[in-house]
Amino acid sequence: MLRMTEALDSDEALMLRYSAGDVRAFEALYLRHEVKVWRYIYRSVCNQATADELMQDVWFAVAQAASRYQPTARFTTWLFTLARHRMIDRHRRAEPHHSPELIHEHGERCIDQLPAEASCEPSQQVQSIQHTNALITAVEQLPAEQREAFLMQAEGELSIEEISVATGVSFETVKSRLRYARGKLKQILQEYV
Amino acid sequence: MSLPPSQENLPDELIEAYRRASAADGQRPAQHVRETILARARHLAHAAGSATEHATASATPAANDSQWKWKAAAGLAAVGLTGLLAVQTFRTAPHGPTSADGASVTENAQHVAQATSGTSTSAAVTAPVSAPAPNRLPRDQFSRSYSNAASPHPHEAATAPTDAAAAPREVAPPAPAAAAPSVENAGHQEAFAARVQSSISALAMRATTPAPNASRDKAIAAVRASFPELFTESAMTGTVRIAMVLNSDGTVYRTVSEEPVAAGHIDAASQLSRALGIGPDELDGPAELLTLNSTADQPNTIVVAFGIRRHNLGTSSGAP
Repeated sequence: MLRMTEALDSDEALMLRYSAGDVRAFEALYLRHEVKVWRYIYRSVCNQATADELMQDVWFAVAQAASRYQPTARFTTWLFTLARHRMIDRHRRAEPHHSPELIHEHGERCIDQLPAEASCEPSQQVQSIQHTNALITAVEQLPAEQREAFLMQAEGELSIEEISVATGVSFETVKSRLRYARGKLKQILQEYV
Repeated sequence: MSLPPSQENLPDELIEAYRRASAADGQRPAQHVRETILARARHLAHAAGSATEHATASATPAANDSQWKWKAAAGLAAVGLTGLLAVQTFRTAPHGPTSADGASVTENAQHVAQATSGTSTSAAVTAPVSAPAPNRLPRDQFSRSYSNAASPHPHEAATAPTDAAAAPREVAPPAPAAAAPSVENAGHQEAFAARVQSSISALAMRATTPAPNASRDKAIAAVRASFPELFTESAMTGTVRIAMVLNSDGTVYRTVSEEPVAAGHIDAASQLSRALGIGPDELDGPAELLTLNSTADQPNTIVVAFGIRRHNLGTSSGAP
């Protein structure tokens, strides 16, 4: 159970405390962002095992980088940027035949090429929609770039500026992606409704 | 599922709707993922703590190393200072003791010489009144000191101060241990201590040895050279009074013999002033009286009033 001070501490303060050796600060930080990060990964890769593996990689990296952590930006911005990079790295390892030119300088093409898992296939979408939430399924059907921006905003609570920093694209590009994402979600949801 | 119908608040309500749906979603990371991550975090924290402790533990020797450096620097400074003192000692030793010692020796020699004026000339030859270091004393002080030194030959005495290499030959070695200093021994503390001890011993010996009155010896030599006839038995007619002023190098500046002897009180300064026209202010030190025995069986026949002229302006003899 988290102590009151840990619950009130900011992410950055918890990270600094962990870098000073306070393991409980890391536990508090992890529990605070565990589900959000995992959902962001899971909605992106649509696979439990892959999401779990990436989740470990992300938080291992967080723990490893704690000694060098500098609170120059929000912790969540760094956290989701880290998660995004881990997903891109995993895709690169899974697709070694892709030439560097095919990989966008900001990884956007890699995000586009992230494989769609079976649960994301249309054949299973109906069942998924029936048993879960149609909105969730609609998000999973979004193009990768739009989904990424939407999940960072919805799960990570990042602002447009922070999403711009995390994804390495301009502010207007993020706004455009979010606008397209919402339009498609609206369209998909209207179809289901 | 209900989505907000309004187009205006769709984005915000869309996100809120997604969050509600996501919260209702039962998808969670596996439990082992959390355990693995937290275990890893604890391990890294422990490793970092151990590294910090190790760094702290290794920082202590670093602090010690710093102290060691300070000690080493202090030791080097001490060795350097000792070496400097040793080099100074070795450089000045052939000419006499170090500056402070040299000044003390010179002054002591002068005091002793003045206090023991009238002693034998043999004592002047054997007693090592050391010449001061030429580069450490003013020129007039050096000349004065050297003029007081024993030298049976005025010419040698005149050339010795200007020849720094020759000066040590006229100085008796202070002690056997210091007789042959070498540069190779400069860094040895024992040699340095021995030299210091020998210098102190030599200084003590000089202070206790009766020093000669070099001026008297010069005057005697000058009288014998200027008036050799007085020292023959046939030439002695009675008491002879001689007024003589010597140059600092021992040569005769002015001299005159008076016969018969003037009656009344004999004052060396007044005699020199009267007979030679040289006042006390022109003398390097007070005028002195010297009584010589021309022969063993005719004592007290030659009375010499003499003084050392302050500046060596030349040599002249005879009456002014």
